[in-house]
Amino acid sequence: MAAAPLYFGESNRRLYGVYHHAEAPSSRVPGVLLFNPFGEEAIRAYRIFKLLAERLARIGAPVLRFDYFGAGDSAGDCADVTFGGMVRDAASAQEELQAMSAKRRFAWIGLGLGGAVAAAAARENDVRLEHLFLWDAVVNGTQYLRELHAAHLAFLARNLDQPAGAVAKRVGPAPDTMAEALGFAVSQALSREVGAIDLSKTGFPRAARVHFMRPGAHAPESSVVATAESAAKSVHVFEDDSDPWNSDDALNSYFIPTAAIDYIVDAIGSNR
Amino acid sequence: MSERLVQIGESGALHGVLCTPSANRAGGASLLLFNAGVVHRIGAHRLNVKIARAMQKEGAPSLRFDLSGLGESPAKSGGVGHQEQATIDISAAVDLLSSEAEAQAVVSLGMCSGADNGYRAALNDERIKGLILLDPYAYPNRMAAAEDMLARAASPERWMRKAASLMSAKSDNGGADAVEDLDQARPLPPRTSFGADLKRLTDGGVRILIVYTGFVRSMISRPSHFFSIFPEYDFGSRIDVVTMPEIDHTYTELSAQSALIGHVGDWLKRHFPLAGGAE
Repeated sequence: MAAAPLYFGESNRRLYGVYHHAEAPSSRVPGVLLFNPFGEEAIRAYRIFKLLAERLARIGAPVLRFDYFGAGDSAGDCADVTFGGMVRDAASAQEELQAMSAKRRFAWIGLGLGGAVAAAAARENDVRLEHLFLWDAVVNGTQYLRELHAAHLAFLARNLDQPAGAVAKRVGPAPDTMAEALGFAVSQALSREVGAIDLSKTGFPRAARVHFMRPGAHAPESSVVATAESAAKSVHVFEDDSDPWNSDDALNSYFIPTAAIDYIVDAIGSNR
Repeated sequence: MSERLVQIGESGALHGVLCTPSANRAGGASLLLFNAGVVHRIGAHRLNVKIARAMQKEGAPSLRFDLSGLGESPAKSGGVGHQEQATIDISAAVDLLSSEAEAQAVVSLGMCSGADNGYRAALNDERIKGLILLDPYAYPNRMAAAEDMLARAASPERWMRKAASLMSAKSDNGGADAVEDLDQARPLPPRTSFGADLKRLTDGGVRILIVYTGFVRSMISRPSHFFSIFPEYDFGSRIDVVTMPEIDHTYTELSAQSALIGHVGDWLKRHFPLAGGAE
């Protein structure tokens, strides 16, 4: 079977995942773990990750994609999602990937908030990675919460035909008062933890190669790149000028950021 | 949580999650949940999971699954179109749900294109005893158009936003643009055809809950608008219509999701009660 859905993890924290068997197993290619973004963005990323996993499996990489506790088909309510919990789930997923693939070398790919989760989980568990892909990753949590709040207000104002001010009054005028975003609960604990993310200060895990993948004009801050350079053998920056993967237009469409997927598959396949 | 992964259909190609209550009770309903648009089986904002687990607490089992070519289910090759394939897939899911929850009546819940697939499947499979249609087809009608005009006249802000959107070459017409965009991928059947199909279903004993959001507020913002669209059909008391014009198409706000789950739960309890009454 090419892809096998499964449950794994602690009994009181059961996680849903899909394991993609390598089609032509190769010792040269690492096992790959995919880290979802948060909330609505995970739904927008679903097809992207599925296609990415299939492409990677085709070049010989076993791949695990999974839902955090409180997300997707995993157990738990949306209100239970915390950043610490996501990091804990990442460790469970890595254990599962290791057990299923028998691989010793790994590449992690984190999209959106998943990038920050991957960085934190690798650092906390001292996982040495061949590749760490930070794809449109949250490197500054305060900025991310601001963007999430703005996206939530804009989406509601547009879809409810209501003045932005009226929506803001109902939702809360500032990111730290936001109890929900784009259909998902944002607990105070989650908000506090995410607000504290600053990859330029917290540092990077040890990884042979760190790849910053930023769409359009969102170049990574030089301080973040400098911090990554201190921990990685090499740092790569991939600029993608295609439409953002998480735009409203990308919702309920077949939009796929092909150039970004090609970049990842090529980097893992050629181990550069 | 009592959920398990299942594979559906003769070849097991369709992937889903069966969600069962802790105690098996006679009567009541079992729910079928599947894709809306191209979103995988968890639904917009994970709504299918939230509904499944809320109804599980009320004693209703459910099966949420991916139709062919969506989510984890591979596309089928062969000359069957997507709509026809969806009908085949839903019947295969009814097979599994009926075998797992034989004492319950199967109710299909679908949003938007999922509503369309659900009602077509019910026309084809009489084991489906209930339909929950979220933003199914809607049609212009004079009563709603006049009321929408009056509402706009009473709201200078809405006129200002309309003017601003016209200047930016985007018309603000109470969701009609969105409906038009969607209709390119979701062809609207003739009014009489949809009405006749609903009549056939209700005559066959199918109970239907229709929920319209603000997505179609220019056409339906009160239950009476829906019934005025089909004056030639008497659906008896088998169709219940709920309108939520202040809510967006995908129930983005958590309060909207709670309201929907409340409506679904109340309607199921009323029309598909558990034997001996709900606990």
